[in-house]
Amino acid sequence: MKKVRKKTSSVFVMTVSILILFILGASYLHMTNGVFDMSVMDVVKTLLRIDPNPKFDLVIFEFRLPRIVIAALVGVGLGMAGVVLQGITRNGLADPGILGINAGAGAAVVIFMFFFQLRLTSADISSWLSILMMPMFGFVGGALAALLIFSFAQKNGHLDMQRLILTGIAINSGFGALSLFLSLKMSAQDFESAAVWMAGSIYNANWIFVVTMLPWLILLGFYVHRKAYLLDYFQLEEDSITSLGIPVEKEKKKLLMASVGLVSACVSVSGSIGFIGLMAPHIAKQLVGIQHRYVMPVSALIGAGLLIIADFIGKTVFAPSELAVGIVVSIIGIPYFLYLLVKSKA
Amino acid sequence: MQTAFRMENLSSGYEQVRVFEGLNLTIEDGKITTIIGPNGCGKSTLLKTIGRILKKQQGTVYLQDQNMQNLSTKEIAKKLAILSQTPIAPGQLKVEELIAYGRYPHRNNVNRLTKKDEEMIEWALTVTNTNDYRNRELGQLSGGQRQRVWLAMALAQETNILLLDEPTTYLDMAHQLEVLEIVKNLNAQHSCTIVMVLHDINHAARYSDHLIAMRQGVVMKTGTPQEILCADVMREVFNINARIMEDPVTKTPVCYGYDVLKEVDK
Repeated sequence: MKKVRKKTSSVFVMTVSILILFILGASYLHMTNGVFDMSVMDVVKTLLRIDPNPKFDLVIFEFRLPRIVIAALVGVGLGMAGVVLQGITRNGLADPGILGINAGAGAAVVIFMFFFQLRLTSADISSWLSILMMPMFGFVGGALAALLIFSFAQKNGHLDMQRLILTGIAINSGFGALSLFLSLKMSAQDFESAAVWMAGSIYNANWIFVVTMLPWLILLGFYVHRKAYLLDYFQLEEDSITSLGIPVEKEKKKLLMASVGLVSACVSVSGSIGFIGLMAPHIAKQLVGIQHRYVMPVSALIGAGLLIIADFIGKTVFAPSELAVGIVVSIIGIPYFLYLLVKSKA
Repeated sequence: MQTAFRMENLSSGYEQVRVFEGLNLTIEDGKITTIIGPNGCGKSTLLKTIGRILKKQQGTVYLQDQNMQNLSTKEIAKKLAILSQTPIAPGQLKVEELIAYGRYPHRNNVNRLTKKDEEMIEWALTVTNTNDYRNRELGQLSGGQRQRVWLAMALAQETNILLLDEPTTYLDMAHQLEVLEIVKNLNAQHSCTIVMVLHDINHAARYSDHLIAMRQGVVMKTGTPQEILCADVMREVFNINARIMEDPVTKTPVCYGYDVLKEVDK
């Protein structure tokens, strides 16, 4: 038994190191390339504060670095939430999107823009508040959608996973329709910024976003990682889990809440980015097996790496115009999703 | 004498459907007790209810004279293990890993097995004769092997009471007896209290100290195999005309043939 465990943990350490290298490499590409190309030396010098150049400072610290950090954080959050959701629903095709959080947050942002945007720009509100207004609304909308889905999916105080997925799909399309309806009534300019946000983009990342989402991510990330071992047991059917003395319902609800928090925090700054939460856990399981205390951190790192790369592609391939990172992820994600479906049928 | 289970006015079922009502029953400690009855009589429901997998609707269950309601699910898991009828686990899971899951209620550190944990896993592997394929994945095992592995997981839970819901389903004749022999051995050598549901009345009679015969949510009769496996009770419970004799080898009653009762016979 000890031998087996040693092997798994050394595979884990290897995987994590390679992923970290991959993330650093992707960040390097992201940092040096773009409308304003920089050499390696420039980047290193700027980061280490050796004869600082205000132009480089601006590009790196105000544009590129926060963008990479946000991509990484959102990837980590979605990657972890995906592991939790697939674990507790025992459904390998579950994705944070099914909780309707993305759609709920999207609808809330559209409503916000529809009713308040004008007044916001005219009024003299501190920049902090105006930057945060949209994500705040996104968060509230996401949480509201999750709450709705919870209450519909409950039956006799029992959270039914099948119902959860079905309700998620229904709420998703409901909120989607609402967003579409409202956005058709908007001014062209508002519509555009709403559309960009909903497609999932992080080009407007800034340090304030980082500061607002970081506490959620650290708190819930630690919680979910601590509870990851429970997901191993959730692979059994419910009767066996109960027999082992695990309060199934209670633990499932707590984990679900935590993943709602993670997804909401991500969606509120990046808009709706799908498929990361679906892909990252699957890739992680192929790399390190099915023990969730290994799957969880690996999936988080894969999520971060994928998002940084996807954002880099979105930024450079069609330069000078940019492709929203959510769209890049979907372009990669949809074929993979179909592949999973075909494979799970076989 | 201590009882393993004492049920008072117990009612249970699913959502709107009551399966049984106002049940009063005791199950003795240190014995093998088997619940028999036709399909849908509530035998599995009864087993699940006393194993707290199914929420009771009314009444009280005392587990070793303690009201089960006052015990946490983890405390209960240290006293009883229940093996459900169709347990599921991912096919890539290793035999050893699944058996280690059984240690959950005793573990404080979730990432490391203690020496005691390892010992109990070894013991469970030995008792169930699963040592040979301890490193294989569940997906590679035959039905008989897999059932014994699940039994081993329940044993690793280190409980005095074991509840088994039709542990021999889908197994061929030899593997059915293999599982029941393990169960008997557990009772005889480790004084484990066993409560199980079986379909085969001959197996029930051969391997049990006590039988509980149920029909339509009502306990018709309880007693020794000799008292239950007789023409009268079989007619009442299963609606059959059973031909019964004593097995000359095992000295337990066996039903060697039967006919379904026609309306006229009743």
